[in-house]
Amino acid sequence: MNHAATSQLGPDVAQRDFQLHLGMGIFLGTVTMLFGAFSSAYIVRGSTSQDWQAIQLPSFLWLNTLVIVISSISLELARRAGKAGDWRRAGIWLGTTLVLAMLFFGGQLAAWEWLWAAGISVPSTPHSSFFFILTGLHAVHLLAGLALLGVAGARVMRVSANDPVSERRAFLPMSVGAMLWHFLAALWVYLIIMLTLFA
Amino acid sequence: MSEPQSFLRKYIFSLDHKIIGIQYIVTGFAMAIVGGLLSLLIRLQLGWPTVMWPILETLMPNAYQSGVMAPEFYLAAVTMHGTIMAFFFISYVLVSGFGNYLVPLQVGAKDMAFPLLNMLSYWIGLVSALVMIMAFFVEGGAAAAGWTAYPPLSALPGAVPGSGLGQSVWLLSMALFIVSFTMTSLNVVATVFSMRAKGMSMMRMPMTVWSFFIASVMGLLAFPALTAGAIMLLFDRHAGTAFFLPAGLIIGGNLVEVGGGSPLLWQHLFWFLGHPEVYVLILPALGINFDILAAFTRKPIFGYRIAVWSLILSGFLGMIVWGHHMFVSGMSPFSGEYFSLSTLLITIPMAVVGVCMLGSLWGGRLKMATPGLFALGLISMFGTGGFGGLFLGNATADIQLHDTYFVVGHFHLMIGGVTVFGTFAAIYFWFPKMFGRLMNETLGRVHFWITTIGYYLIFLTQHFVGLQGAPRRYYAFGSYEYLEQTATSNEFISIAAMVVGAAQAMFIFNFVWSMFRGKVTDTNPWRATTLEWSLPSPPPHGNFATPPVVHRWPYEYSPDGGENDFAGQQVDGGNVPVTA
Ligand code: HEM
Ligand SMILES: [Cu+2]
Repeated sequence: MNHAATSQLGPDVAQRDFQLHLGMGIFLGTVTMLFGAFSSAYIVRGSTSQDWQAIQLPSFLWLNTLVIVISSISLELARRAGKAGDWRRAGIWLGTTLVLAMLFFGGQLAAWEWLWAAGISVPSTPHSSFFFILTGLHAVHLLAGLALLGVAGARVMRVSANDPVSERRAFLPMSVGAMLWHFLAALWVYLIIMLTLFA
Repeated sequence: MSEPQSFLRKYIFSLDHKIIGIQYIVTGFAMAIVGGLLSLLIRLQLGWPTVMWPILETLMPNAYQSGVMAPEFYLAAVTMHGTIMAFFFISYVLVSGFGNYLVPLQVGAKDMAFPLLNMLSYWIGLVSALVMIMAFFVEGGAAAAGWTAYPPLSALPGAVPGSGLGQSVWLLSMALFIVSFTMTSLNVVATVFSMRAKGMSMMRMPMTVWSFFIASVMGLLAFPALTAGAIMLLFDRHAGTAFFLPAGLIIGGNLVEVGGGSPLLWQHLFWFLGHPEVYVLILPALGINFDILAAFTRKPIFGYRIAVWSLILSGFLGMIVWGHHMFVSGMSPFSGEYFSLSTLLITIPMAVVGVCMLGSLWGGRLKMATPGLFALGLISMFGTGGFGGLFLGNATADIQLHDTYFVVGHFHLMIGGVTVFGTFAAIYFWFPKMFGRLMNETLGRVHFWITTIGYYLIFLTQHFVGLQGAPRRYYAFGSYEYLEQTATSNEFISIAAMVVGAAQAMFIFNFVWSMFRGKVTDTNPWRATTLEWSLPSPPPHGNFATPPVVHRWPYEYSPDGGENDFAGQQVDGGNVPVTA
């Protein structure tokens, strides 16, 4: 993690930054196992029973998938801008990311609403149980990502360029948050494929 | 780091890994008292099933109506005993407690990587323990589906009294436990990766650190399976889903409406955690044991590199053998073969570890004090317990032995013997570092001998009771003619259990008494080599005044004797020997 701001602040700070990224990496490892466990449950429950009934999912979920993928890209652009010290651009891309994130949450709510209106709830069929639990769990993790990006946004707005301390404070939540966010975007793509194509 | 001054910040809401470690240790022992008393109640019932206990009726009127233990309470007691011992005693004292205390000290760090997370982990852990205890006081009593919480017993709130609120409380407590344990494991892994002192290469880490590191990685990878299972179970219980409830289930004469799920799915998810969990518990005991052995044999341990790789390998294999708990569950013979094979494979690295321990004794100048005695006891438990495991790992034999007292005897020697002896060895060994005083040696030795002999009497006898066909989790054997032959053995086991229980009271007395009255000792009473022994006892806030530099591996002892038969890892100069 050798970006512009940190390298001026000495080895202790660089070490701290490394640790924070490492911590997030380890955390993502256990989250991977969590969804892995759910996936194998999905396969077992689906293949060993007679009562499996696939539910129809709203097609706008694919649009929502596009939204979260783009948000991931814009966050990456923000992160790179921040790393280069271009805070105006970083702010713009981070703002874009936050808007897209909200859009995704909106789409998620709409999807739940849509199913609800069609009379499908958690216990309706095993497939719907998995759908609600997995997307819900994903959303919970997204909230954590959103919180990190929110902190980053607040700090980017108040960053004073060429002050390494303030730059680091703005960059860190963005960079650690990006790890989480990219992961969750990829996870979403995986989930939606599993839940629709392998229903 | 500046040291906080107020009592509250220094000892209660402390960020210091040493305080947090001791908090975990004390909490874990408090839980062990509860779990231990439960086991004595269980033994009272199994040893003398027809005797009435008016005192117990006065103490627990619901559980002991007219002086006899209620069958539902027996199930709850077994469940809570197992849960508490595995998750709230050993996990807290040995893994979270000593892990916290030792890892930063032994890698030469000032604290864990994330001290705030660490404090949170303890407080969530404490709440989780309290919630678990609370289960006894809710309507219907504590959970009764076993520490494995198999559905449908755990999934249908109406199945037995404990399946009601008690089971929900159990799940809530376990969820908190997982959060807390994940935080600690994350900290251990991050600390080992990022905070090792200069010169502390991975292959210079003490076995203790290696074992905590591997155990933490395993915990991080295995616990999510239980999290997933617990979430689904909660939905089955409260939201009408049918992940685990099979179709056509009849409870109390009524057909259960929901169904189509798979109880086997739970077993897979549970044991995907459950088996790694026993390695999470046992590996630290083994790692610690190597380091204690080295100090008491005054020679390098045998095969450091081999032992490290064996621990890593067994950790890896430990993740893929869970199905051996399910041989009789109706899994396909093909899976049965696979799990048999992988289980027999895992005995190889485990046997290598055992051989390394025995080899470590070879040619040593055994100078025994209590920690060394417990270290030897651990080796013996490990051997005996592992021997039983050989039989159980073979699916053909296990079909006979599963769910009998043979299994109970086996796992108590392993997760109850190896881990408990490791815990005691660690306490006696590091007590002087924690408090600057030694524990009483005579009491320690008496504690060791009663515990060791008692453990064998209890759990070896259980093996034979199991071979006679006695099933586990039965409330009373009196109604089965073929089990009448076990009555004397059961009485015998129960008496031995009472004696072992009493010896633990002595240990607790020794612990508390020595904190204030124990013999004051210098910083390195065992003349050991790892970094914590170069520090004052107790080590100051922030541990090292200046960042330490490590010059050698942790096993530089020479058996030719003398005052200077060892060199601490921080000692510069001299010839640095080749490891292993
Ligand atoms: C003197 C000490 C102990 C005695 C006398 C004792 C006794 C027992 C008994 C009688 C059972 C019930 C067996 C059954 O009906 O299935 C049991 C279960 C169990 N014990 Fe212990 N125990 C002791 C210490 C420990 C320790 C130290 C641990 C863990 C580190 C432990 C872990 C367990 C577990 C996991 C179970 C299985 C619970 C279940 O089936 O759900 N025990 N113990
Ligand atoms: Cu196992």
